[in-house]
Amino acid sequence: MRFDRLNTWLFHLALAVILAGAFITFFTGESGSVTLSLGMTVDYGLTEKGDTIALPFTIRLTDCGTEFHTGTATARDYFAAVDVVTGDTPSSHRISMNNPLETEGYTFCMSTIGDEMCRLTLNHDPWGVRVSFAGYYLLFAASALLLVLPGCAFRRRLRTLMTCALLALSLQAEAAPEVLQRPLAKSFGELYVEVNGRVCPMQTLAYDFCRKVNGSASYEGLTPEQVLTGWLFYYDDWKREPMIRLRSREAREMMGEDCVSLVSLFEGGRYRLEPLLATGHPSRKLIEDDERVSLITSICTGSGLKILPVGNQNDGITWHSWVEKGLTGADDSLLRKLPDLFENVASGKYNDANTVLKEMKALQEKAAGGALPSESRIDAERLYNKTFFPLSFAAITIVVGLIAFVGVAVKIKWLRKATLALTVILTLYSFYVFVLRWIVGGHVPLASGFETMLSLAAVSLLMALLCCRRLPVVYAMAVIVAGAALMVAMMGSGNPAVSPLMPVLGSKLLSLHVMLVMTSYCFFAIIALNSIRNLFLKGENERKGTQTSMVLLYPAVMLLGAGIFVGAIWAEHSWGRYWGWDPKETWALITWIVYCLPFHSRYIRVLKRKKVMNAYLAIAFITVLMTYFGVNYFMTGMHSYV
Amino acid sequence: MKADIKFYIPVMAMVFAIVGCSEDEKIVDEEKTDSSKPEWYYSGGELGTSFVTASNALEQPTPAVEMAGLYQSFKNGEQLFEKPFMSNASGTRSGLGPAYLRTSCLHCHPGYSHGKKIDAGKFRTDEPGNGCLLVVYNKETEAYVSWLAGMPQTHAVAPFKAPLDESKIEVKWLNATDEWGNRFDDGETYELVYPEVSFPKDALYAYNQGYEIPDDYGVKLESTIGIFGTGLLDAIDDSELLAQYQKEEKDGYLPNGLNPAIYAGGAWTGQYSNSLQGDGTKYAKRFTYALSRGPLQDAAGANAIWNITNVTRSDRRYHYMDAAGTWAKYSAKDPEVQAGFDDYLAKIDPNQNHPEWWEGDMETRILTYLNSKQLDAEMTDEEYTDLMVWHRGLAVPAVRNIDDPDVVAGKEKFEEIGCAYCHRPSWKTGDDPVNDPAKFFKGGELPRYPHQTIWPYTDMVQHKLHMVNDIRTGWCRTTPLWARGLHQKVTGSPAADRLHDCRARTVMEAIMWHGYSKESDARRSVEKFRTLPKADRDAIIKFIDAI
Repeated sequence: MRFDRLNTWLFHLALAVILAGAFITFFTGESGSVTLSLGMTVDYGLTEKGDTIALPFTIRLTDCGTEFHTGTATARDYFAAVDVVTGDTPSSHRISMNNPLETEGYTFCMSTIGDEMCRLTLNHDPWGVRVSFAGYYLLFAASALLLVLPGCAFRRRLRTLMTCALLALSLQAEAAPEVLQRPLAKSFGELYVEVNGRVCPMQTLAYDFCRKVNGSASYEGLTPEQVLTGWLFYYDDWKREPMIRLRSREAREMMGEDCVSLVSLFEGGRYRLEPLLATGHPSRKLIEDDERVSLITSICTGSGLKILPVGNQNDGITWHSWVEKGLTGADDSLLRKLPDLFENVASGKYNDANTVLKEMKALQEKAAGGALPSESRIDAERLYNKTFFPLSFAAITIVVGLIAFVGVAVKIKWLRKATLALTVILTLYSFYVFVLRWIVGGHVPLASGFETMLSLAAVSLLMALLCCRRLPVVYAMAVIVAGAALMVAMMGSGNPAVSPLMPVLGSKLLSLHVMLVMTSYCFFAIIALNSIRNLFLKGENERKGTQTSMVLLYPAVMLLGAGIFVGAIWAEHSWGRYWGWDPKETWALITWIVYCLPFHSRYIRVLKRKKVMNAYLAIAFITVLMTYFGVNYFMTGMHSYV
Repeated sequence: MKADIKFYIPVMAMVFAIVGCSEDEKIVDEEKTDSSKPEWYYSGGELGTSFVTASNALEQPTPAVEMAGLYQSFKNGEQLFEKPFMSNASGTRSGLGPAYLRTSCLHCHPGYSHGKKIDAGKFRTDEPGNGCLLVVYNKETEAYVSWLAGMPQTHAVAPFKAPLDESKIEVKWLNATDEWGNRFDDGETYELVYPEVSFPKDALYAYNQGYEIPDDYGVKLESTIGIFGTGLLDAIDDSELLAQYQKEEKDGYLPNGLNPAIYAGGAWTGQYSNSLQGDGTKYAKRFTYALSRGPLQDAAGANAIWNITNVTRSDRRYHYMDAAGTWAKYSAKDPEVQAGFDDYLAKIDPNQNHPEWWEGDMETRILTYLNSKQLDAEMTDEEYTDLMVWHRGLAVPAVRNIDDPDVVAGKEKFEEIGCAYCHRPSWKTGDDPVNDPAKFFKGGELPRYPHQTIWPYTDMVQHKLHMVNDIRTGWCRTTPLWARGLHQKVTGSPAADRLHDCRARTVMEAIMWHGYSKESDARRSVEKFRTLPKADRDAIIKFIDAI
């Protein structure tokens, strides 16, 4: 009991310290920016209002620029090299996106890069940061103690609780459009191509293409590579193929069908989506429908096939399509293979066409050399393309979760065993996909909405397995949450293309931050589901159920707190300030406070009633939804890419 | 725990089975059994066919280019075609102006194809793909007006001012309904639209400077057509062309007969010759809608590289301007032009190699410069040769979709209803001596296509369709149909952009314009087309898109 008190006390002290830190920042901190031109020496910064911040040293820009992901024109990092002179002692520093300069209590972070100039954000807040971070550490310690120390509320509650497939068979259409033979299409899929600023095998483009245009990786039993090459080599056949799946209501209504052909979209020599697009604000789905059409055009004309490496390995290589006019420094030999390829395909000499494709690949390797991804990464990517079925994965997970729920509810043993077996497979599969995507992308796959959802599903599934013995209800719910997360991942982007990391996300803290927050969301989702279920229970069952929610609430709130904390460290590092009142930050804080309230049920009488508590926990989930989705859709901020 | 192990082992086995099961296909390549294609598959014959069907389908060199070792020259010429010209006095692709139409060839020949249909509203030459030229003509005589260049210039290099202000040109698209109500008996419908173009007198520079122009001028649009395969058409013997005229005259099928300005009574009445650069030798006319040009080496491309940009070359050391000389005359008087002329001239003639441009009063100096026949050549002979190697070296894509039964059926129907009479499927080329009326080319420097069977689907003869707001004079040379089906793919145009002013947005509209008037030479074929069931009509359209 004593520990419990101490811990509660520590907790609130931590919050008070953080608040104090915030006040110190507010009253004593200075923030603004410094604009530097190459070679110019500066000894002051400007606040947003235009007031001068005098610096006790001078700073001079010696170099600045952009670094690129190897072999592409996609920015990897921005950097500025500066000389700082304090008194008589000069020192050189390099500032980049996640690498600020801290000197004499001043922090300089990368903000904007221009031609021979750059702007750095400037923060001078020596005491506020320290105090706030001390508070954070205290909070962190208190959280850890809470979970570990005997006699704390969490342990107490936990103790009381303890004492209590699917792939559709595709049918071959009668008049299937003409395609390349499967092995030849596969050869084409082995060429290198730049997509989304990343060099990958053409196979990846083929999968993305099919998923985007048709919503499915397979069309009429054909491989994605066959579909892609079909559009390229047998355009006249494919343009009549109703494979464009429209998503927007407007377009569907106008066309009278969901799946339409390219020809029908251009009936009468007019682009039929054009008038819809021209009216005021076209919906996002309509714009995506339009993008589907552009994507097809870019494939069958070749403008989207950036297969031509231009430049050399010292100065960097950029990738181009054969459509681009007047490329200087392009190796003509690769371009001159193109007519041979088309001729061989057209005249049925498929063996020769295959040879040409191999030669083209060899030429690409010769020209791009070290700028190409490693053999193992390409292999991983092929495996990923072939063995990752996001929609089936999501659907199966949800179905398994629902069956597990039924199994738990009606206590059928064999059903529980069967779903458990399936959950093990799904969990392994989720980690398998996670690892492959890691290898393919070259970064921990936690950078996009799709990737965080994927990881949430993996974590959720793992949690399900950990709970399956003692907390079968939680187990079933965790599987459903995983399925829902996968569904959301599919809906959100519908396009799980791997893309390179944008500069600010290139920090090790990113993975930790996202992982902590995602896991807490996962807990909150389970709590919400569980609480809804509790609303329909009575007596002992209701008590047990509520107890479960409360037990889960501890790690959930701690994890969110820790996630926010890690985010603050990262922000301090990248943007020079630990808290920016960015919508996402603010909503995360609101979520955290909302979920803290139930811990104070001793003082908030109404929460003592189990029905109210469960309703509260169910409704509180809205704040999580707002934080995760709402902010991205309704507001803009630093987190809008997540 | 034991039970657990028993339980997990098969589960793990299943997982590994699924993950590890990435099938490794052997590349078993089979030879196509019916690889022998019919002769009409090779549109440009053995020496002139290419096979690329992507966006650069119309940009490929012929096998003849490769065989003659002219690939690099072809590529150099390609640059001249694709990249913009600059108004600098020296350097790469310099010499644009003083007055010009477009900065680059690619502007009007998007993807090397036909121009694109322009929108209603203003006439914008800076819009890539607008391949339309303005045809300003006298409504009574139907001749080009003398006070604007035949290809009216809407741009100029300062201090000069554009002869025509394009912002004042108005383009309207009007609907037309044929006597069948734009409808087939089985209910299928189509729409017909055509352009109307006009500009007020004050769009003209000369008029604003005091030149009186009569009221009876009209304006029409004429789009560029594809440039590929022109080398192959050039390789047809003049005697073969004459034989075609004689055959059509003898047959007497066509209600409008033959254009008396070209041919009558078994013999040529108008031939092409060039006595300015050449020796006046006469050749059969074969190029442009108006059949204004003979052999390719002195035809549209050779002319356009000079007059669209006003870039001079060794055999054309003078500017392209209106025949009446109004632009030069009023430019010379214009105080603003006079004020800037010295600066302009300092760039054109920095070493004052042309003392006559520097002496006397300003008006005379400007006139002397503009009307000079001794300008410095801005394009080298080597560049011009490269350009013509490229021009003559452009291949025709092979027929697409030839294995589609609809396409084959469409070909039969196309012939059956008489389309193939004017859209004559094939020709055999002659010795292809490479004639040049301007006597710049000797022949050996360019790719040649002797004795090829080519499939352009044109009789190279002019006919009349009597469409609303028809082409100037009404006489229009049958346009080659080869590779027109690739137009949308290579230009990205939503419409097929067929017919001389791109009025037909689909092949169907193009066909139906052919039968719009009872007096049309194609009327009987269109009447037959109307009686065909929809499947046959669709097959014909598919065939036209495939060839």
